[in-house]
Amino acid sequence: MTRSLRVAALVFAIAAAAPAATPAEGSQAASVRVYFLQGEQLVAVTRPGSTVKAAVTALLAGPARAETAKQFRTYVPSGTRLRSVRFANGVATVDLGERFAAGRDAESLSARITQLVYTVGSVPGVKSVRLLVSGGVPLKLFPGYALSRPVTRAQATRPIVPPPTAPPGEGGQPNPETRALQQRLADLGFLALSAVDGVAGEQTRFAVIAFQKWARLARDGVAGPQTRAALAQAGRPSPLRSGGGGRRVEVLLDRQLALAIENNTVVRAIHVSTGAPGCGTPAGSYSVFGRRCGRGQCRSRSGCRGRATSSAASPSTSIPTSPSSRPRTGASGRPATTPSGCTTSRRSGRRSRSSPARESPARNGHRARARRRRLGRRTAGDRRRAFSPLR
Amino acid sequence: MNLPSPGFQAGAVRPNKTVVAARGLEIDFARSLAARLGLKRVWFVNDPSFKRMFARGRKPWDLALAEVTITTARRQNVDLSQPYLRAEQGVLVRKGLTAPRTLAALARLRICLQRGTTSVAIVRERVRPSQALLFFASLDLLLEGVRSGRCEAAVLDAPILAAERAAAPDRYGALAGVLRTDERYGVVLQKSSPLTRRVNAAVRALVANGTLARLQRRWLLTDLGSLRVLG
Repeated sequence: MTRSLRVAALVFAIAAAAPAATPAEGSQAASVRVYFLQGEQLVAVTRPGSTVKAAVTALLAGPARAETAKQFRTYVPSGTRLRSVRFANGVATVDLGERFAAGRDAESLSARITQLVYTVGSVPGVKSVRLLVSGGVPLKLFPGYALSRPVTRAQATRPIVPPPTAPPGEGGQPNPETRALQQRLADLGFLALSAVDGVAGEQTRFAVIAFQKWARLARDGVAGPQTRAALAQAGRPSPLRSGGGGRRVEVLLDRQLALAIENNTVVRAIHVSTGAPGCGTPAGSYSVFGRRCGRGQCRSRSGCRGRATSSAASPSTSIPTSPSSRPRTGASGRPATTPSGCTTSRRSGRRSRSSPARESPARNGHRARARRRRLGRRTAGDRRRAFSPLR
Repeated sequence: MNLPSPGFQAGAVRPNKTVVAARGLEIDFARSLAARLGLKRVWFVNDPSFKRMFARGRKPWDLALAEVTITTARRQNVDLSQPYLRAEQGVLVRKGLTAPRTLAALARLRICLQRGTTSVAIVRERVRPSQALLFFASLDLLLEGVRSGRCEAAVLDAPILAAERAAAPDRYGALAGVLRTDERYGVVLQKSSPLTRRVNAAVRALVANGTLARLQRRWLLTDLGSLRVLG
């Protein structure tokens, strides 16, 4: 009696499991990649599923709580509805509710297209993505995107969205943990001592990025477990090249870091962004002819920074974590211009042509040494002189 | 509607030509106009052909808005309302540059223009620039020139420059002022439409009560009527 009952129960269990087995197997193995933003970077997280629909649904749901704690964020408005999904011939057509086009901020609008195209484009077989808003073809709803045709991942440029001014956890009351982090960063020269106030903010984030660059960690500006562990063991950065007393700056092109050096000791390490691909900052040794400070930004963060080459350091509040500077071609400077619109530095003085390799830390050529010389007046004429050859 | 036009008309066009998720200055203006006329609901329909708007015959719409400059030639086949926007030639300077306050100061700047626009003749005749003019083949390239600093000032229709600047205000300097051309935008209606008189009254009221100034500040970040007249 008991035996027959048990058998019956087993058969029932198998019968119940059988229809579910095939799709369950498929989705267990597969996962989709969903794209959010962290700092200035587009980051992927995985979610179960293998279809366009699963990917879009996960994107609309936004980052999980643990991901939000890591400051992942989404530019897709919450509550955006998925109306329908079609997929044929490599083109995924995604029809979203009107909410997807909500808001007027150009950067937010273009960031959400990038998130969508990257997410849907990560589903195997998808070559391009066609977006419909409430069944209609979006015309100029998303700046920078022509959406009357399907968009490929290559066309969906990575968003240039500055990180939010005050991400969660920044600002507010001073806290001892932040103060300890800041003190450590200041001891190592990544943060100005005057910025140790226990309140997390932009300066702290830049200092963390500077350290991450030095330690060759992921440059996200968040002091996670890896960064904290490295920070605990790290020493003050040392100059790559010794010799020569006085004050000089080494710009490490491979690490995107500038070292301010006084008598062969690194006094500050500063997060910089040099030339973007195609606009490379030339290697060599340079003298600084003049200095400019923009609206107190450089004074407050790092002391006056010299402009070692045409674009070695830009005092900006949002410095990308990778080489991306494109120098301006002002009418007064008139630097030589390449076809890509970047300035070349033929006007820099005493360029060492013997060491062309830039990205290898072992070579001399990838760092720019700069001697500083003060100029009394800061006029347009002085700025012009900053670009002219050594006299 | 004649989508798209940044700042003035944006939206998603369904296969049956109706526009959803519409936004922009002229979209808001159409809604204000409808409210003024006592209408409860507005349907936005897109017609991609600008020329067809001025063709003879019955139209599949009651009012058309498409940054239409009022001219006598256009009045032949359609009615045009009282002006709702002053569209002069605007001067947009690059970021970091002090805006010129006089025509002479503007003449000293490196001025950029879009090739083939009416702005070219206006700048040559009235500004008399001291530096060579720079020409760009498209609006996008012209704006890129201002953003990169190659141009110190760009001259083009003020509403276009204002709308582009509003989309990314931190990449440009100020909209320094206008060169007067006395161009005005008007609403297009059917020829001898019974609506024309009421629309005219409504437009006048919306201009007088500051609604249009408010819409310009919202979508163009500046009231074009309040800009400095350089010449």
